[in-house]
Order: sequence, then C-alpha cells, then structure tokens
Amino acid sequence: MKTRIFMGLMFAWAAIGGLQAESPSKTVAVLYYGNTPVNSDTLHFLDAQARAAGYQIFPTQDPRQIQPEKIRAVVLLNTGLDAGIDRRLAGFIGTWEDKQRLVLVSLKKGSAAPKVEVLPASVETLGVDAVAAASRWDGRGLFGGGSDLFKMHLEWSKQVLAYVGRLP
Amino acid sequence: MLRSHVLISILGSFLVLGGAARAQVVDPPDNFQRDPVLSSVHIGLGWATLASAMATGILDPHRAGLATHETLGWTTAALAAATMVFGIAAHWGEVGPGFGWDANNIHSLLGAAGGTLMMVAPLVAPPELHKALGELGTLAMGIAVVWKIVY
Repeated sequence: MKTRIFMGLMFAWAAIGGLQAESPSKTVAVLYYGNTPVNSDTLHFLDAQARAAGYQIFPTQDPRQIQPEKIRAVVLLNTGLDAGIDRRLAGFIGTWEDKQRLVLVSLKKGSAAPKVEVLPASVETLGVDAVAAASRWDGRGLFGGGSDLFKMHLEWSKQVLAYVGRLP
Repeated sequence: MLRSHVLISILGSFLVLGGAARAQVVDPPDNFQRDPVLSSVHIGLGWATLASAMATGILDPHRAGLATHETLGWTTAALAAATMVFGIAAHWGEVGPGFGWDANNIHSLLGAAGGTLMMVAPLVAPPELHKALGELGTLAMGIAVVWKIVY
C-alpha cells in the first residue's frame, strides 16, 4: 500500500514537473531606450495591462539582459521618432533569430491622432509584427471612461498581448 | 521590337524594386530624459505641501495658537515653493502652450495657482483675504494632486 502511495506521489510530482517544464514563460521583455516621459508612461501602462493578462514584463535598456530561453516575447518600444525604426532596435532585430517572438511598438512623436495601425511582418517592419500609435498619453479619467487617447493605448496594448498569447 | 520589350521589362523591374517598401531605419533621437529622482521628490513634496496646508487650516490661531498656525503657514509656503521648483526642474519640456489642454498642463496650472496662493496667504495677503486665499490655495493644490492620480 505504502509503495503504491509513494509511486502515485512520484508520478504526480513527475507529471507536475513535466507540465511546468513545458509551460511557456510568462515574462515579456520590453526593450526601450531612454528614461523619457513617453517610455515611462508606456512601461507603467504596459505593466498594468500585462499583469491583468497574466504576464509580467521585464523592461530593460540593455539587450544583453534578454535571455531568449527565459522570455516569451520581446516588445520593442520605438519612441521619440515621428517615423521609422530606431537604429538600435533595428540592430537588435537583426541579431534575433526567431522574429516571430518580437513585436515592434512604434509610438510616433508629435502625433496625437487616436488611431492604432496594425502592421503585419513585412520588409517595412524588418520582418516583425508591429503596431503603431500616437505617443501622447492621457489617463483613464475621473469616471473611468477614458479619453480617445487612453482607449488607443488600451487598444494597441491589447493587440500586443493577444499576439504574445498566440505564440506557441 | 523584342529589344524594346526587354528594355521596358528591365526598366519596369527596376521601378518595382525601387518602389518596394523598405524599412526606414533612423538614428537614435536626442530624447528629453525625465530625471526619476527629481520627479519623485516633486511628488513627495506635493503631498507634504497638501498635508501641511490642511494642518495649517485645521490648526487655526483659535484652536492651536498663533505661533503654531504661523509656523505651519510658513512651512506650507516653503514646501509649496519647493514643490513648484522641483516640478519645473523634473518636467521641463513636458508642459507648455504647445501641448494644449492636456492632463500635464492642467496639473501644472492648478499646482502653480495653488502653490502661489499658499505663499501669498502668509506673506502678502491683507488680513481680510488671508483665510480665503489660504483655503483657495489648498483647494487648487488638492485638485492638482488628485488630478494627477486620476489623469
């Protein structure tokens, strides 16, 4: 009897261990450059949205800290530009083999149009899936309804987290 | 005839290749950097100013004596000045007429109005306006602080 219980426990332990080993990481790295107001607001917002979706973000300005085996995806925060991709982010994309696990988020400088553009992977986005929106931030508002800009940021963050969720 | 077709095809190919969308990779921008220390100090001072202003109002000369009320009033004025100075230092470039009626601009206007009134009340206000200006300053600063939490 004792042997059966012991074997059963061992089996359960091995099964749980196996499941844990197979389950993909819940960490999403966010690569950004500069302690700018837009980056600061974006990281705080993304952190809250990611937590609500069951992920945790790992913000870093040092690409060497991103270990592919420990993270689910990398969000590349492309800010401070009205168009184009920051050369440092482009360099990182070039070194990363699994482009599927990269998401480029371009928050355009000087833009306040509350519109989200979803850009599938193409030559234009250096082969990674991307979203683009305005860089202007607004809060949720006194009664929680949210401004158009707040809804825009909510929209792109949902798109990004849904993409991360679809990754194998 | 055939030659001209070949030439047109080659030219067409060049045009297609040249017109294909390519990634626009640009040099890193010279971004405005927010100093996290200055920003945190500004936040701490803002709350301290608000607490001090409310204490000043509650502990009026009738309740706590003139000396206590005066000390608190001067402390509030100094804290308000420091809050504004640190706010300007931490967020220079984030507010201004160019940003329109955005959340940061409204916060800075309310904070500046509240802080100024908090200094005017003990320093230069006539006795008949002292209380009203102090209360108005506290209200404006309070709204500025809550505004920043909400927006």
